[in-house]
Amino acid sequence: MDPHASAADIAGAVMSGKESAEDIIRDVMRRIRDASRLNIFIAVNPDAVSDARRIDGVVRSGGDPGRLAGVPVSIKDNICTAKMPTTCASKMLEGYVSPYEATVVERLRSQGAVIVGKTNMDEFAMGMTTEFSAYGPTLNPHDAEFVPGGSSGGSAASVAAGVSTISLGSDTGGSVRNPASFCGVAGLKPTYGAVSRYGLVSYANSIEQVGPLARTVRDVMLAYEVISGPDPRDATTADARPPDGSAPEGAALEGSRVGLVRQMAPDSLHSGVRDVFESAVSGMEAAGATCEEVSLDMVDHSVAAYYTITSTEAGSNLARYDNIRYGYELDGSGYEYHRYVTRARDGFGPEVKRRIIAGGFVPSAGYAGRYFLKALKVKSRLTREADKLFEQYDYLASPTVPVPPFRLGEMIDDPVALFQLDINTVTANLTGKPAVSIPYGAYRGLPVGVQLMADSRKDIPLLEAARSLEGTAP
Amino acid sequence: MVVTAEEITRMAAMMRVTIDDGAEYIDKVQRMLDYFGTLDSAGVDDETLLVQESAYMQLRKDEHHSHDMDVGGPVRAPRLG
Repeated sequence: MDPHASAADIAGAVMSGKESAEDIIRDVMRRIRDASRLNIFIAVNPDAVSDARRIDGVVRSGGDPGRLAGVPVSIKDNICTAKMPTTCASKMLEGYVSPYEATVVERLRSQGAVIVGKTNMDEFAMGMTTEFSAYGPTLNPHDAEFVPGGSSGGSAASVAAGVSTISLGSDTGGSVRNPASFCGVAGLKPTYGAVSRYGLVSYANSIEQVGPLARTVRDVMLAYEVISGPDPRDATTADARPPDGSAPEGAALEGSRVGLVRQMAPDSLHSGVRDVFESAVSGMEAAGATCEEVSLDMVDHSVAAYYTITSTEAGSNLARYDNIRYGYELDGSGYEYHRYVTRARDGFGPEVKRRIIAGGFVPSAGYAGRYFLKALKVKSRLTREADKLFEQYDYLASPTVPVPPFRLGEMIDDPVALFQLDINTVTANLTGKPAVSIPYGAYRGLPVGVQLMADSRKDIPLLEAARSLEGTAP
Repeated sequence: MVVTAEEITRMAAMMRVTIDDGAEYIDKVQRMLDYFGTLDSAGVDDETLLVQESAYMQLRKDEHHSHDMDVGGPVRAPRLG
C-alpha cells in the first residue's frame, strides 16, 4: 500500500479485505527500520504485527474493527501506553512502563488503529526543535541537516516519512503545529478540554492539549473525531463537538471573514515565510473568504507570559521526579536523602533544568507579583482581545512559525531566540482556542505552514476551513 | 539583570538540580528571567483576571474509595474535583 495513503483509504482497504492489516503493518515496520537514521522513534511496538492480525481476525469474522482499521499510528513519548515505555525522552524515565493507557490511546485502539511506536520529542516537551532529547535529535525527513521542529518532532517526522499515517503529539505552546509546519504535514491543537489529557505526562496542565498530526487535514479531522469528547477521568474535558458530529452549514472558507493578525506577520518576518503566507491569503480569498488585517496587541507579550506560566507549572510538575516514585536505577547507599534526590535529578537534561530553576523563581516570594501575576494578566487581556475579534471574524490566520526550518544546532545555544519561534502559536494555548497548521508551500525545498485559529469549541468548522485552504495550496 | 548569579545557584539548590557548566549555564537562566521581566512593559496592571468558576455542586463527590485493586495494579488517587 502507498506509504502516504490516507487513513480512510487504509481502513477501507482493510475492511473490504483488499489489504490485510498485517501486511500493511509489516510494511510499516520495515520502513521504520529503513528510516532509523532519522531517529524518529524511541520505541517501536513489538506487538504491532499481532495487533494487526487481531484486526484482520475481526474483519474475517464479519465484525467491525472501527474507523481506523489497520491504520498505523505513532504516539508521542509523553502519552502513556501500557506495555511500551513512556520516557518523555528523558533519562529520568528511562525504561518506565505505565500501568495504564491514556484515554486517547484507548480510543484509537478501540477504532482499530495499530500503534506502531513511541516518537521522539524534546525532553518533557520542553523545546521547539526535538534537539533536547536524551535519545538524540530527530532529523527532518525533507533534509536530514535540518530540525523537524518540536517538541512533537518525532510525530511530525513519522508522518512526513510515511512510517505512520496519523500521529498524536501534545501542544503546550505550538508543539504540534510547529513540527507540522517544519515537516510539511497538518497538525491540530484542539480547544482546551476537547481532548482528554488523562495519561498525558503533565508539563503545563492549564494550557496543554493532545493533538493529531497527519498528511492531510481530512485525516487530522478523522483522528480528532476519534480522540475527542468528554472523559470522566479528566475533569477539564467538555464536549466541543456539534451535536450531530458534523460541521455546521457554511463552516468552510466560503463567505467567511478571516483576520490576518498584524503582530504575527511583522515587517521582520522571514521573506520565504511571507511569500508562502501571502500565497495562502490569496488562496483564502479565492475560496471565497474576506481577509482583513487585524490587531491582537497582547501577542507582543504572549511569549514572555507563556514561558512564565509554563516554567511555573513545570517546576511544580517535575518535582515528582525524585527517583523514589518514578526514576531510573541509581544506588542510594551512602547518600543522605536530599543529596540522593539532587544527584538523581541530574537525569534531567540542561533545558529542563533551566526551566525548573526559572520555574522556582517565578512563583517565589518577591518575584510572584513581578512575573506570574503579570503573566496571568497578559493571558486574560489576550483572551479578551481574541474573544472580541471572534465576534467579527470566523478565523484568524498567520504563518505557523515566523521562520522556515533551520539547521541542527543553529539555535540551540540561545534559549530566548528559541522562545521567539513560538510567537504565532502560543496565543491559541493561552486563550484555549483551537488552531491548525496546514502545509502550504516551501522555501528552498523545506516546508512552510500556515496557521488558522478559531473560537473555542469550533474545532470542526476550523478543520473544514483548513480543508478548504489545503485545497488551494499550490 | 533581574536576579544575581548567587540567587540562581541558591534556587537551583532549592529545586534540587545541580548546575553543571557554571557561568554559561547561569547566563542562560539569567537571560530567560530577564526575558520574563519584559512583562513589566505589558501595561496590564489594571487588568482583572479571567477566572473559570465551577459551582461546588458541579464538582465530583469527595468520597473515599477503598483500594480494592489487585496487587501490582494502579493506585487510585483521591478525587480532587
